[in-house]
Formats: sequence, C-alpha cells, structure tokens
Amino acid sequence: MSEPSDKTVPYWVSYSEIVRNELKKLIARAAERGLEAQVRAAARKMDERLHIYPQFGDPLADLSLAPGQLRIATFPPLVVKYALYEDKRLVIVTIPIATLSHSGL
Amino acid sequence: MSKEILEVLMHSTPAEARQRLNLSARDLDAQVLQLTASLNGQDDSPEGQAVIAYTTARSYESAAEANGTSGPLNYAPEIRELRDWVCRYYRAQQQQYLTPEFLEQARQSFNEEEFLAGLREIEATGGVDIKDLLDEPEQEVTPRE
Repeated sequence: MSEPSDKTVPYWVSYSEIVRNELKKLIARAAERGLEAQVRAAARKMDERLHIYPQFGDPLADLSLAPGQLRIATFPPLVVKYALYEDKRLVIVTIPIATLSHSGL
Repeated sequence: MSKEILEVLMHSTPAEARQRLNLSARDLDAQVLQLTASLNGQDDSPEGQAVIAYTTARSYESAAEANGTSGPLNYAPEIRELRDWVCRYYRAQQQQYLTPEFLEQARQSFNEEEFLAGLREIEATGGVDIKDLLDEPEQEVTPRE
C-alpha cells in the first residue's frame, strides 16, 4: 500500500475505485431528487469522522485476513461499512456506500 | 495527579514541565465538561460539543507528533478516556437507525469476496480519495420532461 499523503490525520482512510464511482452516481441521483446538499454533507461528515473516530461504528464482524474489524455507521441518509485496522491506523472502505430505506434515494 | 505525569515532570526541564502541566489542566477541563455533558444527558449540548472539539484537536496533535509513522497513537490516558466518550456519544446518536434487525441484516449481506476484491485493489493502488467529489459545487439539474 502506498505511503499516506497526509501525515497529520489520526487515521488514514482509503476508498476503492468502485466506492468512489458509486458515490458519484449517488450524488447525481440525489441531485435529481433535490437531496444533493444533504448527501454531500453526510458524506463529508462520514469522511471526517472516519479520519478521527473510526471506533464509533458498531462492530459487525472480525476480519480473518488481518487483525481488523468490520464496522457499520450511519450518517443519514448514508450507511457505510468499513474495515478498521487499529494496528496500522487504517480505515478501508471497499463496499459501496448505501442509503437508509425511506431516504428517498 | 497520575503516576505517568509525575514521571514525566521529574524527567523534564522546567519549561517542558510547565507545558505538560498546562496540557494536563486543559485535559482536566475537558473531562469536567465531559462529565457535565454526561450528567445533562443532552444531545448536542454546548459542553458535549466543547469536549468533541477539544478531543479532536488533541487527537490531531497526537497524530502530528507521530509524524506519519504507522501504529497506534500514543494518547495520554485522559485523552483516551475522552475519545472513548466521544465514540460512545456518536454511537448513541445512530442507535435509532442501527436496530438489532438492521445489524443482523447488514451482517448477513456482507459479501467477503466483494470486500477482499476492494482490499486487493487498495493494496495495489493505494486507494482513492473522495474529498474532491464532496467539495464540488452542487450540480445543476435539468428537470426531466
């Protein structure tokens, strides 16, 4: 894995290409439904919080390959599943960000 | 005063000791605020927000001190406690959405293959950022005919 570019953050957060692409589509869909500002604000909050307090998400499962934990968190209307590797101060998001049911998205 | 602080003070110059004591006083202030927020039990109370702002700033300071080295950050016990409190505070806010049924469904729908494919991609490429997406100006939407 490449060296983290920002050395001053408590946790490094990496997203996969598919997560980025799907988020882009989600923002476009939200724009069509007048919810763009809400989705962007939620995603900003998510990104910020994962950099500082990734432990706040509810644990879903222990990961078998490395000592990491799968967690889930909500930033209405968004739901994110992420892997937290405490020993590396690393957060990985590889599963596309979902939305809460009844969110209109 | 904790043993750790006494230990640090005994091995510090007067200037370092003064700086450490100032920091400990600030940590203590934050802990008092945390206690007040907990006793009030109010979401988004000014005390709670002050604790979060202070703990966040101290977390960034610890990260800056680590200067890009990997491995867990070396938080003072007071900051570790404050961080735990902030995480509990945030976790409580999302409990209304993360019902036991929702969590069970999320567990069952977790696709390890999908996760591992993404993990391999991130290991190979270093992953991507999303900040530029979030900072873009809002899109102009043409209403559908």
